[in-house]
Amino acid sequence: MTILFISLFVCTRMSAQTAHPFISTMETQLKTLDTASTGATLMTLANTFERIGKTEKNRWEPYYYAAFCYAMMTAGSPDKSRIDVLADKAEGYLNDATVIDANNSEVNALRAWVLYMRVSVDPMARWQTIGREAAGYLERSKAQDPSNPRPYYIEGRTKLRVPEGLGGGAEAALASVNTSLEKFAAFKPASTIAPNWGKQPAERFQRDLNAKISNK
Amino acid sequence: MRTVLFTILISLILSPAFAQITISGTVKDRQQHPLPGASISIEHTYYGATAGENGAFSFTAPLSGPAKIVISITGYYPYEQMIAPDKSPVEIQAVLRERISELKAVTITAGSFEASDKKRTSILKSVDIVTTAGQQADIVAALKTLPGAQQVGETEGLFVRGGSGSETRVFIDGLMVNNPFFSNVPDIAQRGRFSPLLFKGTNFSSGGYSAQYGQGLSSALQLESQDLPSRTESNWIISSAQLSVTGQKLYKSGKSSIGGSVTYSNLAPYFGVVPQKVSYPKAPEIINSEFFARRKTKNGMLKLYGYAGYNTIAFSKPAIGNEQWQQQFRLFNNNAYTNITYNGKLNSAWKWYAGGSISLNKDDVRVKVMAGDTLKSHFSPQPENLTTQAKTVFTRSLGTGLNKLYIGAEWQYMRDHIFAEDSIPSLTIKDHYTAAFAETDIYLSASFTTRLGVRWEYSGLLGQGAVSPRASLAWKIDGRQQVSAAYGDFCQKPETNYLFRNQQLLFGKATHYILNYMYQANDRLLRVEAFYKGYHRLVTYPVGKPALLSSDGSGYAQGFEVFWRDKRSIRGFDYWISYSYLDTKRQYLDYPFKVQPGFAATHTASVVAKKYVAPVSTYISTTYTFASGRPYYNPNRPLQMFMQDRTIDYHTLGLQLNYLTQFRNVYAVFIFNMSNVIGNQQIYTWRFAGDKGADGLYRGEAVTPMAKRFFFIGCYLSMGMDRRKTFID
Repeated sequence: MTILFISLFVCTRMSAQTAHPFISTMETQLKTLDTASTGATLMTLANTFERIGKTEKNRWEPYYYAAFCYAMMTAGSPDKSRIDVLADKAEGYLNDATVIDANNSEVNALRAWVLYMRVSVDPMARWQTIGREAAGYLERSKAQDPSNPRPYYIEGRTKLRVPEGLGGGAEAALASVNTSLEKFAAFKPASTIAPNWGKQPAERFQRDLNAKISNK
Repeated sequence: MRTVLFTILISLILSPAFAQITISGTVKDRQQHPLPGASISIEHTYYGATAGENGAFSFTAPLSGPAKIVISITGYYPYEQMIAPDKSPVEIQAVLRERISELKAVTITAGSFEASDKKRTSILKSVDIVTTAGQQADIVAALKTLPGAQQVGETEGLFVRGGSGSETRVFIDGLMVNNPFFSNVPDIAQRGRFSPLLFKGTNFSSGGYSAQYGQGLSSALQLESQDLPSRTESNWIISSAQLSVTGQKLYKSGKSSIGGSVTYSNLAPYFGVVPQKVSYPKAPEIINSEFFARRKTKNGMLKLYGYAGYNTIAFSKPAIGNEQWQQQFRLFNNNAYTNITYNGKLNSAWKWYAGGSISLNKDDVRVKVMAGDTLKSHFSPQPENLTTQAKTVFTRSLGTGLNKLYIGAEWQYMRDHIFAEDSIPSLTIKDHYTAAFAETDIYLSASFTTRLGVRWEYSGLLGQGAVSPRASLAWKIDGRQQVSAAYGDFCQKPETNYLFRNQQLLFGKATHYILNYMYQANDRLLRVEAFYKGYHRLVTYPVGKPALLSSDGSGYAQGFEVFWRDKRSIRGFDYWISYSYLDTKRQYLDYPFKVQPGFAATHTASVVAKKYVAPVSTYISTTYTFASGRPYYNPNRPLQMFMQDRTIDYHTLGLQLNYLTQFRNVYAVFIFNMSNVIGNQQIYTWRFAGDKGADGLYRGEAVTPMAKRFFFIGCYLSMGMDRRKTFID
């Protein structure tokens, strides 16, 4: 009884300034993220995730989503010269997430995506180096969680931009996306705040690819 | 249950009271520009906000005690302020100080061309070196498409801004390479010894380079070797000229690698198909092997490289002015080169670089003039060079980390020996060369930087020292434009050939002044550079009296250059244009007075265009190069007309096709390369007979390429060990 009393007392005292329900705060932010479209919203969300990450010292998810926001900004950047700057920031958060969880399939998949965006800045020069590194992270991600559909989706996206002679093209991309959709169908996120994005875009992508192939 | 409720009640009572506080304000930089996107947070809490378009923010948070506000944004130092819970609203006017990051900071571009994949100011990417048409993946040949370089086709080397080929020094990982090209063969330019695939970065300086480098009057070409390979792999090159295999093993730790290569090259089959101008009793043949090892230590990287090669060539052609006589040339060369470098951190402020190298080069040359079976004359020089060097550089980061102080020293021991039966007695010269240098990089702001350096050099052989100041600065006008300037003195020992004859010669000296403007935005780049270069103490001698060598020669070079690269205007199409204007005169060697030297053309221009054609998975690259006629001396004219004749203008169009494909885990590139597609007549210079003919005239002969066109067909295969396994392990 006394112990309970003391512990409750101590807990309340300690969390006087940090009394945040982690899960529910994350859930609220993720709802905003679902509909975020502008750079300013993504930036605001990234900052919020960063604050949560700095407070919750052993949760990888906030840093993952901060990086995800920057990945979204990178993907939407019309200015090629901004890509490396945004990707640097995303990779910084991914490094923070890796420190907390070194063998995370989701973190590695996201890192691969960010690296592929770096490749797009100068494909001829970067394919051999950064592209290869990215492929390594995808393989790692697949091995760490074979049920994760996202590395296959990212792989599909990338393959479309690679020439057919080099193992890319619409058909190769479709094969990866089909695998990812099979995995999406069976995928159960580990928690309400675990990454669970990509199914609808993958379905859209599958439709686009099918259209592309039948138009050939 | 009751107790629990009680507990909660008590603890709530005991808890300090929360004060709901409003925190608002603005985030700006020192120039009062708002910083939208800045993150405002109360340390160790979720509470915070993001600055809007105008830099303003406002949020509320419950506080129970003093708290720290942290405001941060990429590129700036964070701003911190303590706030008390008893005051609301809190108003914060944060002014953030810019962090001078490598990415944003201005870099000195005067005189410098960077080919790397990392640096923002790179003119070329590493891949450009191997995909530029007509260059057969030769580093120097690719650099010849940049402004400042001459199109000299009869001799190897980079002839930069009125300087001769020997005035360009090649450095690998900071160490000078004494024989970067295969040994000279009369009127046939030789390739570089080292494969471009060995290097991740190339910095070609056409003047005004850093005090950390010396002994090049005109130019420094700095090559930076590859770090650890990304995987264990083997690479094969199978072509019309060579067979080469390279293997690299990356250890499981990912921190060490080891590898080696073997190359055999023989042009005999090719010459059998494509006729050459001269006859080759022995077509060029090269055997070499390499060794490399890398180790990433806790604070740095250790690199070891070794090279050993043998090559031979023999050709014969009718002697000028006496066509029934045959002039025969034969060369045997043995070369070994090895270097070891370490680059790493000593502590948070100091970095340390140390390197050492040994090179050995032995030529065995046999020149004969034969009248049928009768030997008319012969010359068989056997030069030999041993170079040992050590270099160290300490780098101290000052202040923000971008400001740097470099101090270092260099020592070289060179032993040259020559002997030629019946003409040159056995001669040996030895030189202990020492140098010390200091240099600072000081950023006065993110957009203004200076580099001040000084280099001291001393040659034991010459018994002479020299102090060379260097200075450059760069100013970034805005996000797209910058201006850069460089000044410096550069010293170089006279070439070994002259030192054998006279050790009283002096260091040659050049002074460079360079002004550079660069515009860079959205995959377009414009670079304009003007320069003036003064030459002093060049080696010279009176006409016909090579024994009377002196350091009384001098000269100048001035001009301007334009470079434009555009990857954007036409989708998937990448091109660059360079133009160089050069006005240069010098008195050196046996020039009777100051004239435009034979290796310098007034106008030089190149257009390189590349396109990747996705449907056929082929990368097409073309290079067109133009150079106005170069001076030569026709001895049938009076001496007043020395170097007044000009060769015809030089034109060449090169084409390269790279077909990329992949089967299983083999990545393959099939390469087709062709020089002088149109078939223009190309004359590099003219040679004249040593004696007058029966008609009282010296007979002349144009120096041209050995064949109208050069073809190269080959394939490059890269086979990697599947890394998937490594990851699962």
